[in-house]
Amino acid sequence: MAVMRVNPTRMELTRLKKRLQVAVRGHKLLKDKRDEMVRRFVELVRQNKRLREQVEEKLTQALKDFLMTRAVMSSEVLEEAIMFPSRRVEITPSTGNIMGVVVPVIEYREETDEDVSPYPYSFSTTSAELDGAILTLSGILPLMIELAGMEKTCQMLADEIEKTRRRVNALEYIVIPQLEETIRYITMKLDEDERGNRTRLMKVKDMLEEKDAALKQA
Amino acid sequence: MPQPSYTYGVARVRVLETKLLGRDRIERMADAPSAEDVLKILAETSYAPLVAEIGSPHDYEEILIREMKRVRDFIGEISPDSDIMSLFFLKYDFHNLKVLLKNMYLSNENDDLALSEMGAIPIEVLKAGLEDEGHKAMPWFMADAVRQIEDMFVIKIDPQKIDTVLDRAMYDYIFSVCRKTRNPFATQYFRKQVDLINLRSLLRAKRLGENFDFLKDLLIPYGDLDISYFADAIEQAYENIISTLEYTPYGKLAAEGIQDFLRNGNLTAFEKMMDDYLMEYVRSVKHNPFGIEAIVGYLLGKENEIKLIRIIMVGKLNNMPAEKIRERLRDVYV
Repeated sequence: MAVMRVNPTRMELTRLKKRLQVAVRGHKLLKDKRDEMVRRFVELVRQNKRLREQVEEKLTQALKDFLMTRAVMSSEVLEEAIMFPSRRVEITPSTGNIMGVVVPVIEYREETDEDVSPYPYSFSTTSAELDGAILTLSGILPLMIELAGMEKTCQMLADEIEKTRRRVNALEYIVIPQLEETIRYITMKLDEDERGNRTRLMKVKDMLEEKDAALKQA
Repeated sequence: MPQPSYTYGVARVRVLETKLLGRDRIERMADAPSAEDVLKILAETSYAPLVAEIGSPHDYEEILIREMKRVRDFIGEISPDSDIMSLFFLKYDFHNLKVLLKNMYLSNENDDLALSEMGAIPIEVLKAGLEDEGHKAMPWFMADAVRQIEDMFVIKIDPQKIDTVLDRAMYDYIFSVCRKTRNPFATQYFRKQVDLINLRSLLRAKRLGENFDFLKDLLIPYGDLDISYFADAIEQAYENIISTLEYTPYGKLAAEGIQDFLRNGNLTAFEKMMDDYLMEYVRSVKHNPFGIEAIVGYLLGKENEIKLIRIIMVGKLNNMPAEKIRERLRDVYV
């Protein structure tokens, strides 16, 4: 592991030690965040899968119904029957928060007017197969909207998990070892200097003592 | 050029009847492995020139539209009494009116409207009629209905009302013409049609769990079955409906159709039987050489044929299993 290019001074050592402390604490926090996010993510993904399967199954059914309708009615009549929707749907997008990730929350509200018929066509020119198709489709819409919100949430959460994982790894495998290494290097360097100093002092002391002894003999 | 007598028209129609697709052709088409093969079979028939002109099987609708237009022009040419004949094309005019009205209330500038080219009244006339204040450009029976819708929509916009009011207006007009011309065949035919449509509406409303309030706007008067019958029937169990219809002309159809509905939960078979019933009625009277029966028969036979081809083509293009196609195939006219 590469050692940082720093001056091996006591000042630097204290600074690095502080940074190491912060890094270790950050690492622990991020790891906890990651674990919790993964837990939530797995939960959401399971829900998402269930919902998606449900929507896909119903959608296939509805489209099949429409196909049958299309077969027994001419395209103009079919188009005329459904060109004017009799129901209104209001969708209010807002945001929620999962572990600091801003996720979309879509609120769905159907405006039903009691006096207006839910079928925008008359029964005399349309085939009975259309009723079934319309009924299935109107049942799917809320599910589809829920699915859209959930799928986006999963995507965003997955992105965030990826980012957090990178950060955790960077801290764990790069920043912390690097700091530790540098700290050790500075400590050793300082110790080495210390030892060098001491030997020099001892040597000087020896030399001085030798000098003194020579003077006394003389 | 309109002809002075029916005999001429009937004679010409008799010749063309032989060119309608027979049961065996339809069967072969239903059994064909792909849409291309259906077209190949179609190319052996009177549709050959039209089939040759289209590029891919997906353009099959083009064939059907052009064939129907040809039939309309042909019938206009050979029928002496255009008043009665035009009743059978009225549904296309009312369809166009519905589209234009809906488009107006949606207030979009969509040019790609699902208009039918089969109508007797040019679309420009309908458009102009809708735009002017008193709706004078369009026929009076349409103008009345449009005014009625406008009055209703001042209070509340309900798209279904466009359809129901116009349907009512259409049958009002049809039956007024029938009364005036005293044509027993047309009167009978439309009566039966109205009855069958009402019966189907009854079953559809029942299936959706609706009550008579919902149904009553969808019913069309003038049928042999009175509106009060439906008010009663919607509260009844399906078995009772079958038994109350037992001694009407629709006894057999109701019994089989409703039973199938109870078994499968869909009205596919009932709708097929409706069409078959009307076709059967027309077939039973088509031998009158001095009336419109044969000409109407040819027209309905052709409409039916177009429907059959559409069912088969849509089915084949979407890989629908053969039995699903088959259960929707109506009887042929000849």
